Amino acid sequence: MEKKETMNIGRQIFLGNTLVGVIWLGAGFVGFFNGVLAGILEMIFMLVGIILISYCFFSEKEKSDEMADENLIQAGALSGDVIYLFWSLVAIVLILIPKIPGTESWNWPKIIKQFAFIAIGLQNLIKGIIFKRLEA
Amino acid sequence: MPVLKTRMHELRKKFNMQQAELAERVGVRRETIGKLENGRYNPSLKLAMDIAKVFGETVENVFMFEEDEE
Repeated sequence: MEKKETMNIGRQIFLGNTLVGVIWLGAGFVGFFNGVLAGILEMIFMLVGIILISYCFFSEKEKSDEMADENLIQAGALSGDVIYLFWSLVAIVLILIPKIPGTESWNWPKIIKQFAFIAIGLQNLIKGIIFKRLEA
Repeated sequence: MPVLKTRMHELRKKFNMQQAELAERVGVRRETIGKLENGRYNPSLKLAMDIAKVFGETVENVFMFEEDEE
């Protein structure tokens, strides 16, 4: 019987974190624009992201080991610190911008949604990059 | 500061064993064995004991602390 090929951990993290992170970032930035094209692009980004996450989830995966687990924890903690800093900066921006005249009509729920997409993207991307560096 | 050194590479050659084979026997990835041999990863006590057992040695004969020359 043909042996099913397993996806190694580096590839799992590259597809499930690094690439998905770039996709979330793309969706986050595209969403700041108005118009049908921006909406379609955002949906395509999300769809590709969902396909990638599903592919990683359902694929036959290489078994993790103590070094991979340790590196993943470290990468997750460092990326978490970056996101903490990111949200702190976003909070400051969100406090200051409404005080600028002419910004009352801005679509704040949409802006916050886009920042959330960017935060998810950043966290995944940074986690993937740090993991790759730790494994190298 | 003392650094962890290992005789894994030497022992693996003595036993004519590939990194992949040793990795499989102790239940880790080949990359982990490579990093251990290069001194870029410190193993858990369990992994160190498993590796020593494969070579029929004690842990302190496979892993030892040495003073860093720098």
